[in-house]
Amino acid sequence: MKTASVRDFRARLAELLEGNEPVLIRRHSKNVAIVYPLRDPGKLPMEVRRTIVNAIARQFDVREVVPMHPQVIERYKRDVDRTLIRENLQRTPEQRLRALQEMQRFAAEVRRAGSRRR
Amino acid sequence: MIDFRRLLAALIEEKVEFVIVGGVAATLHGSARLTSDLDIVYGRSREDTRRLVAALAPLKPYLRGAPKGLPFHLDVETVRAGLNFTLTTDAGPLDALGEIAGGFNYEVLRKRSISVELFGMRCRVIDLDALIESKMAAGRPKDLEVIAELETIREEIENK
Repeated sequence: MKTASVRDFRARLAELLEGNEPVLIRRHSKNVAIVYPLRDPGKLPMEVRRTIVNAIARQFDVREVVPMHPQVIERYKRDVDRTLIRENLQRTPEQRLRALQEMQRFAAEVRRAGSRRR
Repeated sequence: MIDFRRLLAALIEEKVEFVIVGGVAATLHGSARLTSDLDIVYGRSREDTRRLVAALAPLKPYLRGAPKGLPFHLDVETVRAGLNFTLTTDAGPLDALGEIAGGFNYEVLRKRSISVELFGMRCRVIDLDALIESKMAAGRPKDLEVIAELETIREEIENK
């Protein structure tokens, strides 16, 4: 494994990244980082692979946050079908879940029918 | 489509500490909206994550939307190093979340959840007020209709 100080690494970045072996970065006589080249991803340590998976998972998790103004929600509430809610509130939680499952089954069937038609 | 019975049974058999949140929680509170995945917030201790990994292993979890062929290992170390995982499984889509918007992790949700019986199993579900708070904190435009419906449910329950 090659070793480089932070200053050395900065100055020789392109050259060090060209190599096939990891580079140990040291600062003030202490080990601070290891840079792995990606020429052979299969040789990456498991921990690094786990980190990559988590980085991808986080990437899917990034969302824009918009303020939820009460007036806007009040406007949306005017369009809520209270009859469906009242019907649901008569059911047990399990009955509500079974109804959702039925709805999902129906939606899947509609999607299948749509794709068969195409 | 989600096989709720199979997914919940897998989690409960391995004694995973979890609370149902998201769209399915909304359904359990009386929402009439269609949702297509099961969201849970799971305990983050080493033992909790070990149980989660053991419960999901037979269901062949994979990162939803990730390129095929990724060297994905859902082991304890991976889960502990990450937080939120949107997965496909043999029993349907599952979002295993370490925390949801509003700072709701498992420890908080244990106190902000109710117990319901589903398919003969006891499960914890985020309570209605906490669900509305988390949807408000998430600040996603698609949640506007959901929040409006959840607030309507709360009104209907209060007016009963």
